[in-house]
Amino acid sequence: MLDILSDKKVLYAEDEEGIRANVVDILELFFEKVVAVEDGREAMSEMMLSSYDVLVFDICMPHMDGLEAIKRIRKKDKKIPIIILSAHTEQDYLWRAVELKITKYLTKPFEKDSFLEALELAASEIIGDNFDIKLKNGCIYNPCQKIACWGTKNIKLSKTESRLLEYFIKRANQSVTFDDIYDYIWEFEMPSKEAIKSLVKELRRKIGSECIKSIYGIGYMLEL
Amino acid sequence: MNYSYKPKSLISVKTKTITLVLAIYLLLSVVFFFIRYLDIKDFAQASQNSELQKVKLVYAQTLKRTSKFYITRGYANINSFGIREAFGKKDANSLHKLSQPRWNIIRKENRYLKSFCFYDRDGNLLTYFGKKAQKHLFLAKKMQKSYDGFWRDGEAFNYHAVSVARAKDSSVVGFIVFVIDPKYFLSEIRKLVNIYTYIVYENSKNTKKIFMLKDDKIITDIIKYKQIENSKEIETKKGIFQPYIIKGKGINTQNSFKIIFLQDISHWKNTLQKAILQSLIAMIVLILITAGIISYGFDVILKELDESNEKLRKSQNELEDLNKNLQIKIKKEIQLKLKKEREANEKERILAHQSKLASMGEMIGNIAHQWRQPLTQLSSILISLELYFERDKLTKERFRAKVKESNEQINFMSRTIDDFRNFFTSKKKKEYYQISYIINNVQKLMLASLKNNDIDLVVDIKDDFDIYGFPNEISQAFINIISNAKDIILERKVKNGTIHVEALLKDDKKMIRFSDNAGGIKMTPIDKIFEPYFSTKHAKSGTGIGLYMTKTIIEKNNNGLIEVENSANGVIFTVTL
Repeated sequence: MLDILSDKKVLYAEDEEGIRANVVDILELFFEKVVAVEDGREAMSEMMLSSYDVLVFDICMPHMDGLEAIKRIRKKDKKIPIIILSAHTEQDYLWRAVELKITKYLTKPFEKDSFLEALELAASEIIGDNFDIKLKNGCIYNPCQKIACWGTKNIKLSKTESRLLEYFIKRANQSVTFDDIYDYIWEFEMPSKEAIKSLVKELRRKIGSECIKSIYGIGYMLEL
Repeated sequence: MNYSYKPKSLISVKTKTITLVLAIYLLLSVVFFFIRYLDIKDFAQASQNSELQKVKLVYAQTLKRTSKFYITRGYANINSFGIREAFGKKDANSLHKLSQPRWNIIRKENRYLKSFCFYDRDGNLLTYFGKKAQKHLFLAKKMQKSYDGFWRDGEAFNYHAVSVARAKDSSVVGFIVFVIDPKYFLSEIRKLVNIYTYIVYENSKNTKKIFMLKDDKIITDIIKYKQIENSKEIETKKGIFQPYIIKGKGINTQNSFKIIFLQDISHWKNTLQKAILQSLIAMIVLILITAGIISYGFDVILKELDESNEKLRKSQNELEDLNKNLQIKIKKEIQLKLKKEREANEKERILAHQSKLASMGEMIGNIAHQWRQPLTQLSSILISLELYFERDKLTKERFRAKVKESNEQINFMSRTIDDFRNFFTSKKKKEYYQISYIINNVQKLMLASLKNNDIDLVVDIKDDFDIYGFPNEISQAFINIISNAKDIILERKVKNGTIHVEALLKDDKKMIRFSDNAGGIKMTPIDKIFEPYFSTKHAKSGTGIGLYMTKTIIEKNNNGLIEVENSANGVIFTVTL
């Protein structure tokens, strides 16, 4: 299940350096990429620059606290799973957290099991209820193992491929622009349109070309 | 005390007072009366004396006048025609004839003139007119000049005025003698001065002979019964008399006699008596009036006194009741006060205890905050180690690094615990400490708690002065102030909550100023926040004794002063030590 996260990006906000370093170590075991920031304000600017799959936030941070940052993020993105890692157990904070649809509220110091459980919850939120996603052409995608099944034949997807596919699945029946893909997959590097086209071509080869529709001049759309 | 009321004694006082006043009055009256009596008496005495002098004068003058008158008459007769010659010739007939007209005249002039006698130069009687005269003039030869005086001759006692007849060669040829009854003098005195007079002499047979005026019956009464002494008063039915005795002048010593004047002093006696009576009456009247006034006054006073006494007794009773009640009340009050004191002490003790507990709770909270970070770090280290180990990704380097990191955290936690333990192990000795030491200590203890709540603690030690006291106690006071500010900042969700701590010297006073930006204290009077169990905070954070204990520590235990005021955006506590 946690394999879902293996091609995902996580943003971690924590002001305590000692904790941050260790938690980053842990997160790196599960995520493709871990970005750590020191406070809510940095987290906000980081969110503006690139898109993330999971957020792990401390509450008490200078400049802007975790809850305030999440509140702003939630205005734009209602789905992104958020794990709170805080020393605060005050009801006041819990109430505010509930309003913000937090995936898991972890209190410091945290335990391994509850931490893993939180990550699993985040993962399951990313893929929704279905562990096996049936595509239009009968191909079944398993996001945990990153495998496309054609009957008994399993085709392993690369991290970039699975990442793109899951992005398409998340935004199924919606048009996904080239820019969206740029932001999600490549962040700062700006490859040519051809790089996207070749990535999509490779993905089409593995799951069947009929699933991903090309919308001319705009981008693609996955139909489910 | 006994306030019992005794009316009888008051009546007695009244009697006593009246008696006393009257006695004094009486005494004064007696004194004045006596003085007046003496005055009158003196006056009477003076009057009597002057009268006596007058009598004496009258007597002397009468004597003188009579002597002069008759001796002159005698010479007039001698100088008459033929008298001298008749004397020379011892011619009694001629003398008688020649003197007859003169006798006739003289006899009419004075009815007390007894006889008019002619003696020759040897003193033998030649002739006479009137009553029979003595045959011989004993002193004639001896005297050889005119003389006068009383003369006693047997039974006879008369006044003699003797004139000497001389011839042309101055030789004595005879004597002319006028014999006058002594009563003449008495009548003269009576005529001039209204006073009883009589003459006493003793004749040759030593029998007392008395001459007096015919109608002086009083004198008869007096001399009959009374012993006459000079100045001794004699009382008779007719009145009171005072006798004065003058020795009469006789022609020779054998003829001495006494003239006794009886001065009527009953008038003076009466005056005196009248004066006494008047005084007495006046005295009695005045005494009666005085007694009446005093008695009336006393009655009025007594009445008022009775009334006021009645009031007094009433109020006394009330007072006694009040006293009793008061005693009971006081007893109750004292008991109540003791109870209250005990309760207050108990309360104080409980407060101190609660404060200790509260500050312990606070400290434990601080420890929790202090430890949360290293604990979290440790737990995350452990988790990462485990996960890395499970995935066979745990390299030796990573393991060592993580163990080192863990030890650091454990040491940090140990130090933290030491800090807090130091804070709670109270040092019994007062000492001098630098304010920076105390504030840094406080900062160390509070930092995690403040940081976890995103509150800035800005320490500004402008003057690093020394303070004297128990450092833990003062630290606790400071921690209470800072905690209070922290709680309010959190409760009011103040953005950028900041607490400033300043240490400075102002006018040689050591000041520590704590200011926050939590919006200030709304209640009035603002000093109420120092009262125990008075918390504006939610039950969650405030025990209500933090600031009370702070005040106690600073003002009672360290003789300092804590003041609070609102600033533009928060509250400022100023501690002056």
